[in-house]
Amino acid sequence: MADSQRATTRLVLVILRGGMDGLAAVPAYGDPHYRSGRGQLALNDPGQDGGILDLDGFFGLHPRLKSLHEMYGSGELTVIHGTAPAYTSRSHFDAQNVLESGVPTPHAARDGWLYRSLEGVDRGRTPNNIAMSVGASIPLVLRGERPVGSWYPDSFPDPDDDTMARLLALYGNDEVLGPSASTMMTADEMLDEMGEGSGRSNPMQQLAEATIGFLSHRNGPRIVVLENGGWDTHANQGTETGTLAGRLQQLDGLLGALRNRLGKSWRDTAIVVVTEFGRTVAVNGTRGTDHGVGGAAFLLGGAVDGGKVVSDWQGLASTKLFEGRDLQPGIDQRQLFKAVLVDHLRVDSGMVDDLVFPDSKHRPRLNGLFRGDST
Amino acid sequence: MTPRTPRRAASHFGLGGSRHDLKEIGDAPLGWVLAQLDDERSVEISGLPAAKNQLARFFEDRADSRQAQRMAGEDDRALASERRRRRENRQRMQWDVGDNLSDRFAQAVATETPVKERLALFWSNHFTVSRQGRPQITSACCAFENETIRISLDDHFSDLLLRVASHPVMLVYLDNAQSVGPGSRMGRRRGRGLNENLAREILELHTLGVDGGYTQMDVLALAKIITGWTVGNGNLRQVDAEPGAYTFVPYLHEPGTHKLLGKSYSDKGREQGVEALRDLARHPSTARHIATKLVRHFVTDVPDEADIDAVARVYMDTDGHLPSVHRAVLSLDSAWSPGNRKLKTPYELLVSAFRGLEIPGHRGAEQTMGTLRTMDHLPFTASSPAGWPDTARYWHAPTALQHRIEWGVEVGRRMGNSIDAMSAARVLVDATPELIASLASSESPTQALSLLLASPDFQWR
Repeated sequence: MADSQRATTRLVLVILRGGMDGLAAVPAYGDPHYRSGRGQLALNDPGQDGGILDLDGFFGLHPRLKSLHEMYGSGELTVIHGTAPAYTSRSHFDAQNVLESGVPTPHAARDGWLYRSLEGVDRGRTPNNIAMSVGASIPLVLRGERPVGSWYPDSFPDPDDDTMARLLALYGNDEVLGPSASTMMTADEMLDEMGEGSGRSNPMQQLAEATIGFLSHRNGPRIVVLENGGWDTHANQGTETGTLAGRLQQLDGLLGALRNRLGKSWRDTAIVVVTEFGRTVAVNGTRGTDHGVGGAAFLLGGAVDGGKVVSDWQGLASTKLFEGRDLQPGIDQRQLFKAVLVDHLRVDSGMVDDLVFPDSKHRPRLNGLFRGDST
Repeated sequence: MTPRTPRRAASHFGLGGSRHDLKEIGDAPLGWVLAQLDDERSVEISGLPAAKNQLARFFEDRADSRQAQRMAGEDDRALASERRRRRENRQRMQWDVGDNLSDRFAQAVATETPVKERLALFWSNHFTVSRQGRPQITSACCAFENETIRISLDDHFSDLLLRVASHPVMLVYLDNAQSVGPGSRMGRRRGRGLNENLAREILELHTLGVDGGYTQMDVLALAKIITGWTVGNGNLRQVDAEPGAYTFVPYLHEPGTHKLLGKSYSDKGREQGVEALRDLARHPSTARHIATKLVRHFVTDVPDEADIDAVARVYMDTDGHLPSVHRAVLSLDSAWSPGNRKLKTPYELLVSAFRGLEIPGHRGAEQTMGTLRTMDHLPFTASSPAGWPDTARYWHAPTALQHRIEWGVEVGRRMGNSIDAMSAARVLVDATPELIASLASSESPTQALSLLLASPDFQWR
């Protein structure tokens, strides 16, 4: 039983680029300084028109996160609040680099933490059979010596078999492009078999469909990484309606679709939603928010022991904020990732501490996040 | 000394070899490359409408539309007619953008100074503006490039930086147009305040670089210094200025002296920002940052410290004189070494095919832009102000490589019957024996051209 479970657990990692406003997604409406700190961006209390969706009487969800709210109620969602990569300056590009490399110094590693864990996930399969990037290019978190699988919708007709065979022979001699060429064919074939992959318009929905197709396939990947941009809300971000509300609704739609359509695989699935940082507690001069360190993350799925908010909450009083302006990054994102790798994907914890997240023993994994998690 | 070959000059420093290029280069590859730095022919794209007019048109249209909607009230027919008008306007804007991009592409295909054009493309990516999430600037991005980068290649970096930072399209793109000094007259009266977006990206992306030695305090200081740099009739309706144009508005400007990188700048209105930007332009971190990016672009994905030092030194010695800095990097011995390969970006890939096969750049414009969109390299749609990464690994994911191959095969299918692949190969690539053998044994002329364009050889410059 334990062994078969080990082989079927799946992970979807969703990276939100630009810095999702954690306090808009997960308002701490019970904090005495919430309303004064947020000013015109404060959301209405639960029960009011367009009001916050309550979680535990202190934290709530943005009104557009309806599917997530249902999942919280059914114990399939855990919210992690006040979290950040091991990096506290406020550059998008460095913060994303640290999030994905798993190493505290920006640009110090050329491969990603998820890539480094693949051998621990399944020793018997090659990276392109374990992990799949659904997007136009492979994000750093999945980059490493050998290519993982990737898929993105395209509109060119397929080359004929003979031309393709000749080209593959030529690419075999190119040490940089060769490995990519030899893995590119398998992804499309898998989707064809599932009857997925053609004639859809909404790109976010298209990525969701592809992800569902891959995760439902018997030879599909165990890990899928999705990216989504547009979270850098410096101006006019809106409250229960507006730019950010629209993005949150799209995200909620994606996550809801995964739950409703994954069928039996949902039980074995964990979805992690992270962003490179949060945003300032206070509204800036242009009704938006600037880059701020601590943010929110979501962990959801049938494998998750949810219905709780995990946080080392320090409060929103300005004296308690990070450098007087941001949420405290009380939880290192690596603590969440470690729990996912060890307690869900069953990667050896020694390997995680030594190889996947080097020099991170002082940041132990979060406990009790998964069903059947005995620790 | 590395041998300097004509084809290297044409495809690595230019935009891909053509018969014309190879004839011009003759037996003086370095001379051909460097002569272009002194060539007086402009790299401006002619016939583009001014950016400020495009912005003004957008603002005016938006205001009209709001007005019309208010007037229409509950009248369904009036509302429907307004919606139709808006749709038609948007469609017209898309066509305009398509025409501009096609002109830009055709210029790259036809230019006789491809090295200069490549430099323009490099700087355009350095100072990225993107219409993603910014409908206001959609039809003005090409003009932005024209009015800043394409007129500055013979100037100093500080001139370029100032033109960019005071251009309405950049001010809208990175939100400075709406930033208000909290202590300014408007800030105090209306409770509006700072937006640090542009200030941060100037420090991180445009000048010092992320490790260039600045702090959050410096970001705030620069944000305050450049308050008041805004755009007429944009989001701040109160501003009385030419619609769509750059303007400095004293009553948005944060008063007082601000300390940036340890130096105090006293309040001289707009001049405060000009002084700060000029100092940033001559900072040693900026020299290194720019040198690193240039060496990465012209030599190899992983730049060598000695090469960076050499270019940064020239930058410091000449106060960032762009032709001198460009000459320094183009003359690097390592830039000519065949071992230092650079993967073509999708834009470079398509331009090099059109140049090499002598296809007019405007032909099939809509399809060309569609291809670039599929390959995630449609101009002015980068996903962040950092622009597109300049390394091979960003561009050769399996799926991206598949798009390149499918595109090459498709062009071969369409044109192979009128173009001899074997003679094209002599112009387009330093073909490997394997490629020559494959072309020679191909089953048809169309397959031969498909193989050439989709080959690994043609992916590198």
